[in-house]
Amino acid sequence: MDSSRSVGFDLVALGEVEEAIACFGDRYLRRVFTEAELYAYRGNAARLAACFAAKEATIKALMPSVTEAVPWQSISVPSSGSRNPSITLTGQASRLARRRGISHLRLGLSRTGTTVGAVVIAMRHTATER
Amino acid sequence: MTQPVRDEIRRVLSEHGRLPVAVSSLSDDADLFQAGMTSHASVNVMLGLEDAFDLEFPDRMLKRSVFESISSIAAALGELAPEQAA
Repeated sequence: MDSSRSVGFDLVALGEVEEAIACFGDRYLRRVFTEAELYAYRGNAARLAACFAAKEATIKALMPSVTEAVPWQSISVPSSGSRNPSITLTGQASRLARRRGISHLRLGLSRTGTTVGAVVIAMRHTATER
Repeated sequence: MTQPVRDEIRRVLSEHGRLPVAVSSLSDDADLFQAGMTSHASVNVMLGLEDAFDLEFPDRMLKRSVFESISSIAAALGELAPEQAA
């Protein structure tokens, strides 16, 4: 296995996001998503599901230990509806990426009528890049 | 943690965990993610627990190990309850 890369993948059912919005409303939205994401997605469940899948796939690609917390708010995906979605890390997620030597993240998204999938490839610095 | 607390955790898991198996069939130490709880369902469980126990999980507890079993959730609640009552 190429140790210069790691991969994260996540699937989210749109129904889960719709249930969260129905049951917990603004508290759910503000707990999980950044202001920029909330502005970009304006309550669209499909796009919020894509955003959440991207956050979880990023966490898996960053490979935190089972006891290490990575808040969803420290991963921002304000363009998950675009052709070239990007990921921005802050706080704990940013510190974890630095510790792992990760320099780039690439995100791919796919969806059906009921499910969204996200895959994130984390690329590390190589000796020649340093 | 008392049995009523564990029963309430099971109620929240039944309501929000979207598990493909009956919560009553799981032991307190069963791995909830192995049992089929998704990462997003764990968010709904977290918010349901906050409502049920009138507390808030801090960022430092937003990790897989806290929500991986009924026992681990009970331990986290035990840590939070006196902390947030202080």
